Amino acid sequence: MEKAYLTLHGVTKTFGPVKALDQVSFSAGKGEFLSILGPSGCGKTTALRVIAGLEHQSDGKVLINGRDVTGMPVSKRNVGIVFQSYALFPNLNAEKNIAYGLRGRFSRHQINKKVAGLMDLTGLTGMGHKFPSQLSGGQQQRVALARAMALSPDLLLLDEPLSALDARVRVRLRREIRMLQQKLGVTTIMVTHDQEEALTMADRVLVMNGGKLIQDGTPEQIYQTPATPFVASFIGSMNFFKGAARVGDYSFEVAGKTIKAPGSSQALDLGDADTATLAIRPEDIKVKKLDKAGENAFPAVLKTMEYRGHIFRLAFSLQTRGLPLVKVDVSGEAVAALGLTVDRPVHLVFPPDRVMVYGRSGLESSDWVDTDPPQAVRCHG
Amino acid sequence: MDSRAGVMDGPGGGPGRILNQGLDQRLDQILGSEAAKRVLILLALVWLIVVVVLPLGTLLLKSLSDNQGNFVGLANFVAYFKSPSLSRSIGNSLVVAFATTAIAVPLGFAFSWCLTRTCMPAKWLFKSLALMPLFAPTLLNGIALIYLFGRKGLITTGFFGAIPGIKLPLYGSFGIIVSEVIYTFPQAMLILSIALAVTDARLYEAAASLGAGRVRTFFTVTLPGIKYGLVSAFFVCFILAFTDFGAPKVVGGNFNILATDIYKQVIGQQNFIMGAVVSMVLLIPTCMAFIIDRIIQQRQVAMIAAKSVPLVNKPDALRDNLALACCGLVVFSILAFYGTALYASLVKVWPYKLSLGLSHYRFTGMGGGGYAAFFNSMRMGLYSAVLGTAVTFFTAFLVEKVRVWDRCRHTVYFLSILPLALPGLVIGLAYIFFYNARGWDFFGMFVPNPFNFLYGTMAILVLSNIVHFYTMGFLTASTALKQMDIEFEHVSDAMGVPFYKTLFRITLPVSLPAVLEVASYYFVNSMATVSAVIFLYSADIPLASVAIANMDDAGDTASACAMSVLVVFTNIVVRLLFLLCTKKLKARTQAWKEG
Amino acid sequence: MNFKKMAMTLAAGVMMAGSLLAQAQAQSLLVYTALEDDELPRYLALLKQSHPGIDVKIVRDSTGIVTAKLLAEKDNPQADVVWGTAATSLMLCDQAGMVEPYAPKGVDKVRAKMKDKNSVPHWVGIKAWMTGFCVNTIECKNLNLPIPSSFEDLLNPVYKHQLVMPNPASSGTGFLTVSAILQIKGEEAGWAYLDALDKNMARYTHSGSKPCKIAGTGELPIGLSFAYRGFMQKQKGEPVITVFPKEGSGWDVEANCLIKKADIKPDARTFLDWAISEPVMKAYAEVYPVTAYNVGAPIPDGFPGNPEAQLIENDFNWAAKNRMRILKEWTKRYDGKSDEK
Repeated sequence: MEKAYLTLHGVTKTFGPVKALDQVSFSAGKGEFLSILGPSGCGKTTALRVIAGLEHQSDGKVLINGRDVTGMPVSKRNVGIVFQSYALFPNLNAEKNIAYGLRGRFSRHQINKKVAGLMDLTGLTGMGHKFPSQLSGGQQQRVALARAMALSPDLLLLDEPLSALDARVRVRLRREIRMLQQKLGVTTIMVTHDQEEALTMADRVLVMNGGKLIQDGTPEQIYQTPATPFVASFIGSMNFFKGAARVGDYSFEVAGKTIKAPGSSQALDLGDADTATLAIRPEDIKVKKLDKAGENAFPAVLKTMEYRGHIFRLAFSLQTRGLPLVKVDVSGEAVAALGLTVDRPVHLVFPPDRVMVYGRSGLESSDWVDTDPPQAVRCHG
Repeated sequence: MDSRAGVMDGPGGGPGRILNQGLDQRLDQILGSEAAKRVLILLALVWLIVVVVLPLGTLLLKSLSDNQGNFVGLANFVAYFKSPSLSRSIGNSLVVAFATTAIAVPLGFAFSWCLTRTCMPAKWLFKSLALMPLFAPTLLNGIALIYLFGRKGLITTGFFGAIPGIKLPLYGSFGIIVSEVIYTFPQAMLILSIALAVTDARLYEAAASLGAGRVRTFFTVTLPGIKYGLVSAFFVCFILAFTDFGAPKVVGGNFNILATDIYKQVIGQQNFIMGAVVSMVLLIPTCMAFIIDRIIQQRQVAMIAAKSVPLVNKPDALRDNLALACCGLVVFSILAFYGTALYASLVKVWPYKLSLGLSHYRFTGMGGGGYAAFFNSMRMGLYSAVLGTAVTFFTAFLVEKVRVWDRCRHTVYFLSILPLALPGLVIGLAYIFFYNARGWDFFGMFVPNPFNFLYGTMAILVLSNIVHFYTMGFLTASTALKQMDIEFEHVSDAMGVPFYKTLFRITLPVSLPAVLEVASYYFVNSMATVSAVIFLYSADIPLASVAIANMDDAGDTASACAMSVLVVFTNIVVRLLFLLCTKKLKARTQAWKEG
Repeated sequence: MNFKKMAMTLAAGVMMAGSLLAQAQAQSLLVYTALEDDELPRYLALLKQSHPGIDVKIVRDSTGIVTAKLLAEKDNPQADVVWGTAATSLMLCDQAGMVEPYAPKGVDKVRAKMKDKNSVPHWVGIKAWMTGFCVNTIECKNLNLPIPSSFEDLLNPVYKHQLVMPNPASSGTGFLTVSAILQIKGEEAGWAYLDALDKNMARYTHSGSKPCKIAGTGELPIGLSFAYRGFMQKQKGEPVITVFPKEGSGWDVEANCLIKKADIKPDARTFLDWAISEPVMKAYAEVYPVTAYNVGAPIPDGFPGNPEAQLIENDFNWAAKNRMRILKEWTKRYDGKSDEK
């Protein structure tokens, strides 16, 4: 990574008794696209607002291009912001919205040129005289983006920029924004609660929860090796097995079943802990015919089948008290090949290198579910 | 560091900038800075302290002092409660206020129910006509009653003997209550029709699907849905009827109430101290009503958050015709009421020479100031409208949009809604005490009053109006501002555009309808009000509403009536102009409003 | 919005505020008076003719109000002069030390009875006004009421709740009526009479002219008021006649005085000179039969041939001295029926 362009150093923000940001530190290189991902209330928007200067941190430092901007108002930070609501001025047409910050700074001629350039860049040519209410959601989004870019900001801050749009438009705009950002080379921080958005658009993803930065990594790192059960559950789907007793360096026992996890790097961090939580993604579990037993293979019975288009989401019972249903994603072909039907007994194989192990601190949080992750997960390690 | 040069221009966009913008930009820097925002909020706070807190404080102090200015504690209050002829008025005022509320709120509810829950025709017409009393000085309500129910009134004499007459005991509580009902009915109606309009249609559908009948639906859906509106209507009617002074002055007879007692003490006996005491007594229930209403309304916020589906009424011949009959009756009564006033102002010598003419509109040879007073009132209305709108809008803007110094802003907010609880007479008297004082002794040091020069000028009249009607203007502006995206300011901030530019380029144009609404509200009320200004007007600035009071005092009832008619007429014209402007504005801004 | 526009808006605002303030600064002569609203214009027209330079600001109210206002402002007097206000009231102000003695030009011509006894008089009268009953003839006929001709007649029970009179606490006419009754009948009998009269009284008004106007509209048939009012109402076409009670009419001198304050304006003295000058005295005489000095005008229509004989022996000093006591007693007994103010 290049020399850090934006740096947050132990930033803490409290609203009364609530810690919205708790010792958050990270940095972004010049031209990098960072996404801050987390459930609502995790502090991601506060982080963005602190970077923007719309809020001022209670403690810690924000540096932009090596300069400490702590206490500097937003107007001095040279940032462009796109808000969730776009905040387009309803009484100004698209052109005037884009030119809003340029007036008084440049000559009329320069403004016209700049606005035309931005409209062209964002694919808005010919829309200049329309008022926001006459534009589609996607077009409004582009106007907001063009307006934010008009002053050629050092930093582009996007607050849930796509959440108000239809699914289809959203997918298209993801690509467009990313391309625009790369073309202009502007350092960008985007806040989102949509994991897909974060993973597809950003160079790096920061996962936040409860005011803390939980994990900072590339999309692949975040997905493949989630740092905590929270990250694991928030991004993608995950099967968890709590209260696994450690019976060897790399082997654990849950409800009488022994699971081996030699490939998990986290297992090394467990130290002296004697219990852990094991996790495996539904797509990593293999379904085998009943007779194909082996390492990490457990007999199971299919309980429900859910058709999800490109895959089937299956739920198996391990037929052991105290173990939850296991979610498994398999392709339609595999379902057909195995002749899977409800109540059909099979073997589930957990490839040892795909089993993740989380230490004690992970145990404190109770129920993780895909859609509604816990709020009080502590960062571990 | 200057990186605004821009990617688009490539490095070195700098030379292209306009050079002669130094002043403009320095101004931006000064006005756009956080410090400037704080100064502005501080200014707003100081302004409200000078026009609200200090005058009220002075009034309180006076009520605790004797004529020589020595502190006597509660002695004046003891004297007040020991004199039955004075303290009896508390009960009288409460009776009037409760009776008025008990009639006006159900009436307002019935009327607004018809407007919102039936398919009766010409709703807008009924609604507009029912608002008539808002344009009239309350003195006129009393005067019109004299022409209807006085000894020589139309009803009493049965239209001068054409039909059998009905005698009613006009002077006293009956006359006051009737006047106050007419005065407060439109207020209740407005509040309740807004409350009824936002009720969620899905609740009705749910009730119907669960088999609830009309009556059950009414009690389980309709009433709970508007409970906050009902509470508001109740307190607004109560406060208005409790503190009104115009109608009781005309038809009160020997039925003394607090508002007229203040006037009697101050003007009749020039006993300012007792006036202050009665003012304090008047303020207690008013402030209590105000506080309770505030507390209850605060709970409401959570309830309305969800978006509701508007209710579409289905025609029902019986119900719709009944509604038409009810509203027709109410509107007819109001029209007949003011029609009588108009007629009486034109009759040459009521009841002896019924030929019509404009002789009462000449105002020669009587007190009050005649047309000079009328035009002064128009000027005052205009000034109040322009300055009041500017001040209330700007205060609301500071409170809603300039997010610095929260505690200070909350204080500004509180002081901005407080005037709702202040009766005009109390404001007027407090202003006499505060602005007429030549100075104050602080521990032996004499501090001259820097605001003394305002006393007896048009400025203090305008000031008293601005404060008297502050809350409505403030809340209207503040609602309009709340509906606007808070991020507008942030976007501008991020672009380095100072907040005042955004105020003038975005916020003001977008909230122009609300601005016009506030201005017309200020004008109409300033024209019609008598309570605050009657203590503050000076002989060379006579006012129409005070002229009405004085002419009625001198027995020139017909001319008082004529002047009232002029005021009502002017107010209606101004209101129509407002509607026209709003309509034009809507057409012009249609482009950015649709969608 | 650019700087220029903003500056212009600001300037407009400042100018507006400035114009409001400028109105505060005008220097003019502040005159308190209890003269009737419909007399004032003709007198002021005369003033404008002869003294166009004097800018007067008139504060008009009922006698009682003017008096109360004057007394309330004792420590910081606002008025420059008092014009045409009951002599008894001016005596009260004099007792409070508010009056600056001044002998206006032509004061020698004024009847001795109608000016202060001091060599430099503290107050100087302009005319006498007398009480009378305003009787609505049509209503009396409708209600079958006889037309009263004396105070005694008013006690007739047929007039129950048909009478209206001014509250003496706020109205000079009201005080005159009460003080006349007390002087004619003696205090004890006087109060007994008033007690009985109260039974027939429908209401007490704040202004002295209002009872007459109420009678004029037929709202009540008989109003105790003062003579001038009744004649004016009749001129307007209302069916009222003025009755002068057999026992005699209460009366008072309407007088002027100069208010003692730090900077007495020269115009104040000029105004007082003018206020008893012959042209304006003639104007007074057009509607009042008894003026400060005889200007040879005929007695206005409707007054008795010898108006001065109708006037009772009025002891102003007694009235002024006892005014507070009488009002207190009256308020205690009858105030419940009073109009507002």
